[in-house]
Amino acid sequence: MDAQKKLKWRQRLSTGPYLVLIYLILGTWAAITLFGFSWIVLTSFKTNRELFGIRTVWGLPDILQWENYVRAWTRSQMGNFLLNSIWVSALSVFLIDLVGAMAAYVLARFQFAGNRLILGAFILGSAIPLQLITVPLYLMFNDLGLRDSLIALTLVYVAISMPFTVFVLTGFFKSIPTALEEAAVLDGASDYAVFWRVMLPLATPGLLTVTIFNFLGVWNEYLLALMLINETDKMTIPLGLYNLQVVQEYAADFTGLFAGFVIMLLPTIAAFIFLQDRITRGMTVGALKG
Amino acid sequence: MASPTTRLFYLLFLLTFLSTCGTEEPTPAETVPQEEELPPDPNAIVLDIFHPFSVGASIQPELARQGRRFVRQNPQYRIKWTWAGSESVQRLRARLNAGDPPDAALNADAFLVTMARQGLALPLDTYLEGQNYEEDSRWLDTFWPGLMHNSHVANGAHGAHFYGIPWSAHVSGIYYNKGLFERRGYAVPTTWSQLVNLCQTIRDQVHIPCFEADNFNGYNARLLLYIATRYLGNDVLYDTATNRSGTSWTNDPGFLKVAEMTQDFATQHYTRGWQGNRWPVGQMDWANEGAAMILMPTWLPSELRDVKAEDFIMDLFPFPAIEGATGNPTVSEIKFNGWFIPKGAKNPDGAMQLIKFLSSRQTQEENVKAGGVPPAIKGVSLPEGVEGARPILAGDGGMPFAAGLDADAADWLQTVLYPLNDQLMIGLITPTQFIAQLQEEHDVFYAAQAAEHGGNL
Amino acid sequence: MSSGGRRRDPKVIWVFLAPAISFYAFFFLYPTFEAFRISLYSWSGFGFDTAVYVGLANFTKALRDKWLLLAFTNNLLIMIVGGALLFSAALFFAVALTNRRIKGRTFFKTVIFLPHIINPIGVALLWVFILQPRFGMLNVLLRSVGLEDFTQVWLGSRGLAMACIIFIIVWYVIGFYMVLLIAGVEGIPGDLYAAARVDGANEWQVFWRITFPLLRDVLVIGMIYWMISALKIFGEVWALTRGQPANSTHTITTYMMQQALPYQSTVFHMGYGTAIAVLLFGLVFCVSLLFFRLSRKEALEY
Repeated sequence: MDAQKKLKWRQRLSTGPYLVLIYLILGTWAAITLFGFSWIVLTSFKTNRELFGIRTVWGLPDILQWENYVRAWTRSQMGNFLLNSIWVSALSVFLIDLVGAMAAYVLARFQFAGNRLILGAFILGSAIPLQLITVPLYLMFNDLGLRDSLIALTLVYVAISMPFTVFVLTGFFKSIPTALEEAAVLDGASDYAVFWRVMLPLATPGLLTVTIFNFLGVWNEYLLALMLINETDKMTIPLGLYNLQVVQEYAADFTGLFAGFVIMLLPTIAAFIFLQDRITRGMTVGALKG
Repeated sequence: MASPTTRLFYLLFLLTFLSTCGTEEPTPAETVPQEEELPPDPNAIVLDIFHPFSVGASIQPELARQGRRFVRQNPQYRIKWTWAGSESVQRLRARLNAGDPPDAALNADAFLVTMARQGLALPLDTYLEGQNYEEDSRWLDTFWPGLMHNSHVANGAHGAHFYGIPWSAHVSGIYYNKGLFERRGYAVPTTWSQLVNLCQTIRDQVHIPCFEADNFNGYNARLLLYIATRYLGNDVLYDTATNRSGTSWTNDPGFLKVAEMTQDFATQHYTRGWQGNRWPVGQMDWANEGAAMILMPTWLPSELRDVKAEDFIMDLFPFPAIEGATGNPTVSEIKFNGWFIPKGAKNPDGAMQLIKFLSSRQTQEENVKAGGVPPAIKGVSLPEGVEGARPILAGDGGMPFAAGLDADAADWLQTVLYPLNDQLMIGLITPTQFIAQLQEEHDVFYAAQAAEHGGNL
Repeated sequence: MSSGGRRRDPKVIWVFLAPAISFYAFFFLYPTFEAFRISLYSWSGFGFDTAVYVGLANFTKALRDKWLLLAFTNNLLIMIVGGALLFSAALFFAVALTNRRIKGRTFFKTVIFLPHIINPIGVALLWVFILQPRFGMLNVLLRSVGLEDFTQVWLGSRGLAMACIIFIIVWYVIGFYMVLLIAGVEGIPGDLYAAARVDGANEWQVFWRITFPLLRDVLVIGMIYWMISALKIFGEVWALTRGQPANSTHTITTYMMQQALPYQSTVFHMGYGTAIAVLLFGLVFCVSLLFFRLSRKEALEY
């Protein structure tokens, strides 16, 4: 987009009629989203009969059916799945951040033979569709006796998140000015200390962005989980819901399914709220420093 | 205010606490007493039973309960269930390939035929000649006759035998809005022209389309397949599709007529936009009087049981006969869902005892009550909305889905027929084009097969 | 911004890189090579000893497959049309929601991001209900304001269905791109602005020399990521239409799914499906390479 046009946009933002237009667009988009989102939540409180009746499908539930949640929880062993999902997601994201940041730091700041090659190899990975590796992974895990292993699933999630994470974090590290680093080095800090004390804190906005998206990706991931986890009590939530939906066609318990979706949403919203807080704080810190 | 890390910690603690609430066995229907689990016995024979339901799906709790009752009545056995869930076919084959077959596995007829052909299933005739669980009749005679003529009687690797024991019986036919028919005094059609006239009448008087549908996998092709088997016959269809006969799609004019009838009916009497209906909205539309009828198997009532309006009554009638047709005028699809014993099973006798138990009157009646699962045996009341299937079940022969092509040429159906049929039904290609392209794709398909395997799978 | 003259401890490089590389190589690259191998076979999916070696036959079949070609054009539609809509909207939101004069910025940011956290199956069910011709909210709404003539069978034909799919995908992912762009805008350290103003730069120069170049990097990242996502897109389309009606809304990956794991069939085309995945990989690789080269050249010129 032309820089000149962008500037004019920013100037125009201060004038009245354009302000109205902006609010209109924002408002319409928000309205569609809020409608969709609230419908999902409301439906999770309806009876299946209310969902299927065309006079009641778009209305409010008559009585709040909390038992949908109980059903989604117990019938699909949501408790187990939730726990599994949390462990897998939390561990994955922690490892991804750690491992990814280390690699990105080196790739961004150190000149060495093969630097570009390695970065390129990581980025190349984002070209690989998951479907390509599901079957080989399944065979590999079978041979290694690692089927139904949540640890193995975690390691796979770390591996497949490397491209995105390394790519984004390298970019962020590159954009950080070297002044603070150089100061630390002059003070006699080792490379490790520079990394932990200086670079990581500075890269917080980037790290948090990457964390949110990796968390979302792992939390909602079901393709690999489907292939690698068979034991019901090792399943993660998306797999459990997939089971609920596909296999329970005969039961057609959609309100239970929606309750399951809402349950799945809650930790994500919670995580988002926590991290959203930190992102804005991190960014304003940067702005105040000037 | 606690720091974010602390908040996160509390949240995790809370969730862990809550998660322990979810690990109990789901409770079965209230009126049925809990069956206690017998303690493990080192001398007991453990029956390794593979089932495609996942835990909590359909009537799985009921089945588990029935299993416990079996063990009480036959304490020399214990049951180890594998509730396979999604991708159960894959998992079962993985076990078979690994040389670890279960003692019995439940599956649909198409899979069973494949197993039998490859010599991976045991013939079960001798068991069927024996007594049923209640010991009051020959086991074979307790099942619906229409069911026993089905594909589970296969030419397996050991010849023509029974390779499967039915557990449930689904039939497909035309479901109709009974209330609407009664209010308007419409008669259930028995011939094709009656059906078409009725559709026109409904459109004129009630202003709703005749047929609603969900665009779901191969379901669309039911219309074409029924017309073809009516008009030309199962054998003609089967032989042409499996490339076994001299007829081809192009040199028998009957196929063109079938294509024309399919397109005429679908474009005139199916609801506008049905092809965009992703399940379950089509069914939902029908249950809200969006259309008069829907071509569906008998799992429809149990799916809609809890969701339809209480005054909405449905029943089915068999797909009508077509006047002037030379095929099978009345054969209807019966979908067998049942047990087979894999070759190499360690406890076939014990497994058969369990299967006998599961096909006894009491358990079959429980299946009907718990989930509207149509019974495989006679003498058990049919679930609501399935009464119209009685003549089909009691008749002298059903056909498997797609006249047996589902078992023997599933690949052909998916690759060759379904995409073209979809286009035909929504009017994207003419019947003539349909036949021409069908022949083309058919030839390409079989040429590729010959190159790879020198035969079919 | 040079990092020359720093003392470099070679050990650090390997210590820091080793974990990432080992995870990546073992769990990602190795299965990829395995997949390349599988694509040379015709395999029904069980017991690899039953697989038949067919060399490149799967690939020639794929290149002649008209449904695959159609699926590819759908991916392009999503990429180009969707991309245009997506980035216009994301830029608009990013710029608007970082401007102090707009009230309720956090509210709008959260709401726009919201779809992204709903499970794709949930999103699909939601929109399937909204777009149903008879009782779906969209047509009901149109009828209620007298626009009966505008009611459509939204998912009933390729054109309309693809348009809806594109909109839904954009609606679903916009949160991600908006946050990315906002992070780009707000990640610019304030002292740069302050320093520039002290030097006497005006608004225009501040924007052109500081905001825009740094935003540009993020935009490039975003666009590359979008292009790759558009080529790989699966869940949303699969849950919404399964590629129907009549195979017209398939994307490469949904078509592949239909080939490798069809629903009611006992025959899986694992080898063919994998070959399609390999072709997809090649496509994505070329596309990203091209884009990468183009964007780097521009940066150098600047």
